[in-house]
Amino acid sequence: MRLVTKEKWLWLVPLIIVILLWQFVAVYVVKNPSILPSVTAVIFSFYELRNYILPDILVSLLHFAIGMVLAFAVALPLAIAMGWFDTVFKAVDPIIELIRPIPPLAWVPLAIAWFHLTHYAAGFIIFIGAFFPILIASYTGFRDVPKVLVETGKVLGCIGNRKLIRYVAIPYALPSIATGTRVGMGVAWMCVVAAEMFSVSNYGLGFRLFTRFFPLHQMDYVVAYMLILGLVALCIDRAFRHFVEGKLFKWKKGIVK
Amino acid sequence: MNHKLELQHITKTFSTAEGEMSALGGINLEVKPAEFLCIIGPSGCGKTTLLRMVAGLEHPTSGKIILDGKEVKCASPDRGMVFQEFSLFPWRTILKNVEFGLEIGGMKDKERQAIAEKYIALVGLQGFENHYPYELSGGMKQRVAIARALATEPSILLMDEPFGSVDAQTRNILQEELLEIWKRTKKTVLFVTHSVDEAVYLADRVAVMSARPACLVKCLAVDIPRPRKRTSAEANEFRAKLLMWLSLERSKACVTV
Repeated sequence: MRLVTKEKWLWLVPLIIVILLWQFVAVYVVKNPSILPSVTAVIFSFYELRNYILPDILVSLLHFAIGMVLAFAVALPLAIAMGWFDTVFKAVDPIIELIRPIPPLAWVPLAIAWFHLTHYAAGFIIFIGAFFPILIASYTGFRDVPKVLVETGKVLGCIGNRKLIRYVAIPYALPSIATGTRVGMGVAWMCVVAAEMFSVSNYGLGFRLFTRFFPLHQMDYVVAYMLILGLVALCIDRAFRHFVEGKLFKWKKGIVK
Repeated sequence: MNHKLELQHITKTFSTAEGEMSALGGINLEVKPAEFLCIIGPSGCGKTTLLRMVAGLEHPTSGKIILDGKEVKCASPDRGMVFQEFSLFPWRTILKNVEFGLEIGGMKDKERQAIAEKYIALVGLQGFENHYPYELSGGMKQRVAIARALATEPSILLMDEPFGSVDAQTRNILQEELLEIWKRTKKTVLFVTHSVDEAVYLADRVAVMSARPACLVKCLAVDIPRPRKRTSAEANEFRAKLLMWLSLERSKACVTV
């Protein structure tokens, strides 16, 4: 028992060492807050920025949500069609492979031209970022459905593609869809910062970091917002894992790690 | 007409790179109600193809399959099928697996649960209703597959080397259990196997198929009283007879290949 409790708090040790080392280097070695702000300065920034933090988080989450919902809504039906019908796959895959390698950031000019400086422009960049990981993981799931399960479905009365997709393919592909969604969420969060750099709105974590703090070389504020960006993403990922792994995949342990 | 199942001059040709290849060259077979019929033949002779046609998963190039006076056109739950590969839906519990065909058929929750429980008891798996397939051994999985195939009350049970992927001792036990189930449910069983021992132990009649293009060379009635002993003199004598027919076919196959 004692060993278990010890291991439970083990992560605190390196964390504290890193924080102490950071503080030491910042204060006694670098001695320049616009190169490396100290831990205490960053902590104090949280207090100074208290009126901005929550609205910025909410606006960034709005951009994130627009992009994710859109990506999921478009990628999933397309993944079903591509994964289940080989003709659709052969017809659509070349287009997908052509567009996929374009970095989401390269879409910024078009996004602003199409949606002007609105939340939707940011949402669009995030959509581009999240769309391909979700699509590819999902259609792989649908393409991998074992033949014997499809035939079992047929023999037990799944007449036609609709029933086979609903009762056999979707449940089988669900872990792949979840994995793709999780990877997509990670890419989407990167795109949040990138999209907000271009002042599509007057709030947002990325917006504040790049257009308000950086020009003034307020590195303590920058680092404070970096930490918030990390923590929010961690929370989203943890929540997703909790709900998806805990509730959906009792039948397949450890697939969404 | 008191045949349960009638195969009328079934042929099957596959198109391959080298042109048309005849797999089945005119199979005629009649199966009586409640009969246990084993189909045996050299490997690659098309016995599985034949069974899959009865299931409606493949279509004969010519000829007719008539079950209960009606021609078989496509897959349907009135023919229960047990595959050689493990075919349980991994995301469903044992209970939900057995319920699957009833659920697709639109039966109400409570009703189908009662039926599923009855069949789970029939295969001796009470207490495992809420387990997932990954928690079961190979033999148990095939028992569930049998229960699931029976739950929709099919008019015939089709089995494609169902015990091929379990170990020899489990196979013997499963064979005994299958005979017990067969006696209790009075189902007609069409059972494909490559094992002479299995055919002699299980079948009322054994149909021996020839090498490609396959046809039925011999239908032998196994007139050994039940319960049979695997090592009795009659069983051995029958085994010898079967082996002789099979080696005759195998030698032909060598000549043609």
